[in-house]
Amino acid sequence: MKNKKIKISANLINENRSYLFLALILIIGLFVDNFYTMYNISAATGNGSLVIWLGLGFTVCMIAGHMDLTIMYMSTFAALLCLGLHGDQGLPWAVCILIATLAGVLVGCINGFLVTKLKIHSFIATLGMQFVLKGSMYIYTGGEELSIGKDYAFSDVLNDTPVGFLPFSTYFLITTLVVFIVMIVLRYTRFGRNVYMIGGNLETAWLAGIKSDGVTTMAFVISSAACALGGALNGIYSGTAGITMGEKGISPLMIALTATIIGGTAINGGKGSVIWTWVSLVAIALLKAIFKKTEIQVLVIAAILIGCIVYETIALYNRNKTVGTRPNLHKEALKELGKSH
Amino acid sequence: MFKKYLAVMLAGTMLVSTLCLTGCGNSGSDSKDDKKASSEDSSSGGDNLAESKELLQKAIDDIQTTDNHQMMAEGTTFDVPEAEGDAEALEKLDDSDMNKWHYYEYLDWDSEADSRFPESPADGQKGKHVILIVHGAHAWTTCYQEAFEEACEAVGMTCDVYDPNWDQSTQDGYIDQAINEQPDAIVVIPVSADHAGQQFKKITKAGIPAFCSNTLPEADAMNNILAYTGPNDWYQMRNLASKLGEELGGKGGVAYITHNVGTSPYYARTFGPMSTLAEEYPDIKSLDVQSPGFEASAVKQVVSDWITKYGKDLNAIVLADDSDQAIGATEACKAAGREDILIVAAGMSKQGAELIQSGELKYASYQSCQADAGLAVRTVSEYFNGEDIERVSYIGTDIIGADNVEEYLPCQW
Amino acid sequence: MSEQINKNPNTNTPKVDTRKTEINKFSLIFNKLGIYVVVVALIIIGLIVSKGTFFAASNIQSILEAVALIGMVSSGLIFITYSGNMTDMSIPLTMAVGGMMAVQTINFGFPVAILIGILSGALIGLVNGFMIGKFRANPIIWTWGFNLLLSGIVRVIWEGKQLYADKVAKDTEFAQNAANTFFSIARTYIGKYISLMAIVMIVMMVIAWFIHSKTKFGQKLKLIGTNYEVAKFSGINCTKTLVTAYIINGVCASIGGIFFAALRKTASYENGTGYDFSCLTAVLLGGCLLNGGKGSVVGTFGGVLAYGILNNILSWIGLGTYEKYLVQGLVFLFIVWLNTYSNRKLGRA
Repeated sequence: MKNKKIKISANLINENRSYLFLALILIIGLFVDNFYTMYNISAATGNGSLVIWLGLGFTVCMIAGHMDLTIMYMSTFAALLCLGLHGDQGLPWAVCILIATLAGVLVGCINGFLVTKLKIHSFIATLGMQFVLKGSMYIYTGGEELSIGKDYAFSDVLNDTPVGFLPFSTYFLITTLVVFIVMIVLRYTRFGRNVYMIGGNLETAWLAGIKSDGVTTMAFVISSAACALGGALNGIYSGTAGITMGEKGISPLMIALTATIIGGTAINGGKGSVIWTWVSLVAIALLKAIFKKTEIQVLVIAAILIGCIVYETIALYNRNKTVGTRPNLHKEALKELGKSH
Repeated sequence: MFKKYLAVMLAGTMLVSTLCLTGCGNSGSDSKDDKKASSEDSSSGGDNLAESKELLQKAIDDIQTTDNHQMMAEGTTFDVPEAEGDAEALEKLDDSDMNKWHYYEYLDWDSEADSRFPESPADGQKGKHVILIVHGAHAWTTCYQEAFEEACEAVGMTCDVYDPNWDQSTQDGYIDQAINEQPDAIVVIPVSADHAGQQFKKITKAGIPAFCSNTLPEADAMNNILAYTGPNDWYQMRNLASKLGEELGGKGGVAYITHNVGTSPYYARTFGPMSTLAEEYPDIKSLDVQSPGFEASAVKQVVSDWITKYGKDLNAIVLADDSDQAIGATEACKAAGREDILIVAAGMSKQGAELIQSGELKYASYQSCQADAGLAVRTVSEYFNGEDIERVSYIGTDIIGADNVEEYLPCQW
Repeated sequence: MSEQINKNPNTNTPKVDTRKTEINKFSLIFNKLGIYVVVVALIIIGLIVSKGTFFAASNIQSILEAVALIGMVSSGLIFITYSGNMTDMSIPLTMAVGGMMAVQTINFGFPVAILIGILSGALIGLVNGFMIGKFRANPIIWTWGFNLLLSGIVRVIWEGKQLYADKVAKDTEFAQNAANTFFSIARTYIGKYISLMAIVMIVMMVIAWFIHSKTKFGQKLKLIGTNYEVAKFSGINCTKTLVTAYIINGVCASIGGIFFAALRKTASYENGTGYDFSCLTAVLLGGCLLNGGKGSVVGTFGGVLAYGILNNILSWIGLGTYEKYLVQGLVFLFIVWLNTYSNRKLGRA
């Protein structure tokens, strides 16, 4: 009985790591001055929203068994495109955001093509695409930063906290809404279940009649489109977009990866949830409001990431040790031996 | 078995880290309480203002930069000339036209649209708390930060420094956090000129006096900035360019290596000299502009390629930085046996001073990092003392060559 | 291979295997000669673009210098890619830590400082090798996370500051001399045009070639890279071999980092940024297979050269720093595709 109890708690920690992490951060928050204020919470979650979009994309790709490194530059590219179109061509915001998202769809298709048709490993393919995007951005802007100009109306809407008692900005609420929609798509539609299938075992999925190429491409499209939409909104939310965004601090890509792994999404795909990632990203956003020095932030986030990787790796290692053996039979035999003694 | 063990370990680590972290949190709040207590102490004494003024005067007289100049010297101001047309018309002009850069060079803002700034408490700077948000980690920033802390301590203020590591969104986050802490003043070195407007608007809206230091913001951001202090990058680069033109005898080819594209030093240190040379010495051609960043090997590659490509047409190189860029450029010239190429740079760092002494770098502009911090602290203090402050003031500058480099040694960073 | 294969003796008409078995000639040529064809082609393009001045001593020197650091790091990275672990994402911080440790210990004299720098690289390699070799961690995720952790540790210890060897050195003649020697290693020229860095790079390549193709270790690594399970069951100590491979990689990266710090005259946590990508490009250009088990140091050297010459040509054409990213990305994708494609045609992937 006692034995069983411990087993449940191990599983609980494993499945709910992200919630545990968030709870931990909230508890620490009690001891920090000015942490539980409307302003602080809404600013922290608002500023952390961009990474939630990236984490969303990264998690979807990871569930499908792939990695998408283009997410960071995709969001920057979309932000630049959105602000550029609005500033130079004078298009309304809705059209700008739509065009930026379509650019994301396009990049997602290219990624999917590289991975499924040209059979390049997703990590390497998107590593290369990253530089293609970076180069295109430079050509588009000439390396300059784009800003929203004087047109703050829409920006203010995104910055406002629409629901009185909730300390969340519109931008964060939109982000959350999209995360939940993607969650529902992944969990309750045929396409969503196919994504889990191809991540779990590509060959089995193919044999089961799933059009694996199409599903993989779709996963990349969702990832890129989400990042593009998020990036475009972030450009408006913060009022500016620059090419080097996020290159110098802790790379948003790194945070997306960290949150995905902390959340419990399997590195090799087939298991995971965008909600887990969302919770860990909110926790990371609040963590940044607690540890103010960038250095400490990097160290804490990295330590948690490494802890999770080591834990998962060693757990897998131990599981693999028993491959081919029958631990249950062995235990039963031992029990009987003990009885007979 | 192992899994359970690990789960327990994980939970244990989390618990321990919680305890450690709460410890950190507590210590943080302790220091804040101290600060509050001290500020109450000082404000209860009525002579805080007089004492503050005395402290400030003493600091101005006493504190020296590491290269033995006055750290908190009075700032200088420049007259803003009339712009020849509005910003859009100027934007269409040629890069080498001086007029194009009017709105980049001068903080030419419409003072009628100023927001309502918080009133000075006029009770002295002693015991006040200031938050400094810099742009990112660099040897220059470290030097600035240390000078800022030294100056703050000397005038009796306390300060916290946040470092967003050159990241725009991180800096936004820091500004939110700084506002959340409700300090007496916030000093910001904006990462991006364009975005500064929004950042300062937020601070001023929250009723906290906002000061901008070092990096030029866009002109309209001044509507929400109480005062700007910093170097006059354009002026010193124009001086440097005049000196270079004189040295070249009014003819030859010049190539430029820029700062990070889009930042205010990028414009000042590339198009400042370019437009000055075009105006004063029309025979000097500008050959190429490249932005290889701040890596010595990348700069070396660019300069080597230039030497092979332009040959004898290349007579001078203007650099935006006198440390890594200068090392790369001088080494490329040396390797190609082209010591005749004149190299000038914006300065001034330790490596730059060494290169000037060895003659490899011809001239560098002098931009005192510590005086920059000193002027910011001085302006903030004067604001707290209720004095009238200049909205825009600049630190002094000079051109350093082999003959006067000794005056500026040892270097600040 | 045109023998008729008939696995079922009971049928009257023997089945003819109509599958295409001859190897695509183009793929074979690309696989064998691979990169040197590209190098020669690039040199010819370079000669045309530069109007004949491509072989000017200064240009050759600038190419060699530009590739020296990439070459040093690539000579270690090849072992990782060869062993089937794709790439080492912790290269940037291995370089940075190598440089920083060397600068920090400059007071103990130049040789000790260099040794400590290299040892720190070896230590990082050891940790990586242990996690990946022993516990089979995902090589990309682990090295990436470890890179972030190292970056955090380095930033906290040195507070994100940059280190200058001459400032760290105490005010004694011994320490100052050591600092000066440290700076000079990136600026020493043997003869008039060949820099010490290029020579070190070539020496490292030769050593790597020897280890790779003449020792038992190289053979074991090939088997591990081709099929880990088979290697394990044929009695190879995979853990030991992989740890050794990662240590070699760490040592090479830290040597690169030390030279980088000497060249920049400063050591900081951002020293190696971007080298993970450029070195991987060079290794893949050299015909190394991403899935492991195929590749050669000679090819890698060609890949490094091709990368340097390509960059050189791009600046001859007059592309700015930023347009280069686009071209580099496209070239990278093309090479990776060619690599995957030709290997698939050869039936090796």
